[in-house]
Amino acid sequence: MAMPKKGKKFPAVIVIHENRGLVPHIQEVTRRMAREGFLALAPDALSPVGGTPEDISNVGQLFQKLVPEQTTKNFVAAVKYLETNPKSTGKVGCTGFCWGGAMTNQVAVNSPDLDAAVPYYGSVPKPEDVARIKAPVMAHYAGNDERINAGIPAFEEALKKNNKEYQIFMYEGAGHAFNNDSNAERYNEQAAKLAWGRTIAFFKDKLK
Amino acid sequence: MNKEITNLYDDYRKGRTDRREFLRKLAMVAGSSAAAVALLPALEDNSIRAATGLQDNSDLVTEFIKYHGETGDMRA
Repeated sequence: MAMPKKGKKFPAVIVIHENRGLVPHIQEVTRRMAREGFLALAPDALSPVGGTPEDISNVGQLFQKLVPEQTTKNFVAAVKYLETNPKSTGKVGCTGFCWGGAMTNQVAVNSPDLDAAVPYYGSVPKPEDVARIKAPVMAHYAGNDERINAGIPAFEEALKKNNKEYQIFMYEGAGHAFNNDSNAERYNEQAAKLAWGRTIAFFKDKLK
Repeated sequence: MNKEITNLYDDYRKGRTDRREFLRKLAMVAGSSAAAVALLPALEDNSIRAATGLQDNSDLVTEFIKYHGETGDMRA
């Protein structure tokens, strides 16, 4: 958890990590979010199986031990935790990357209390679940990410059909995980900065 | 850190000056060769911090907390 030193209450944002766990990079992204004036919380999805280890070379096996429905509920519980936190204004947004982008979509589907969702290159929710989304959605996708992007048309159709407030941004030339500046192969500075600027503006607007 | 000094270091790190030239100029700004050498660890440390995105967090409160989730305590 990170928040500015100055100030009494802040709009809250959940930051959900990639399929590597709560690594130093995501902790830094969480601090960046706090520097923008938010109460930022980055839950460790691997908490039920001992937490994210120092050595993440076999972290995939730990993710396989997680029960998807329980994991979603663990993140939905973070929305409740932040709503009632004395440092929070009660407004709660959620963002996440890769695995955490998919989880952000699931939090949007399963938490009627969420006020804004910003999934980064996340697997889309089932079209029949989209009706349950209450939060406005800003979804970022990478141009070179066929597997994830294959889901966009059905997702967008469902968002439209259900009159949901949404924005979809495609970053041409960027690949999956383009926001990860700890990974030189994946990081795309131009896309990352543009998407981050949009994300922050969106949260500042929707979590007012 | 003095801007003149960090600019010198930046030129050196990006290959615009060689180490000999960098140290000569640094000694001029710092006052002596010994002073220049004493500055090196701080310069290199700052450079690493910038490259890895680690920043001064004195403007933030950060802590690990636990909240109650479906499966018990969640660390966050």
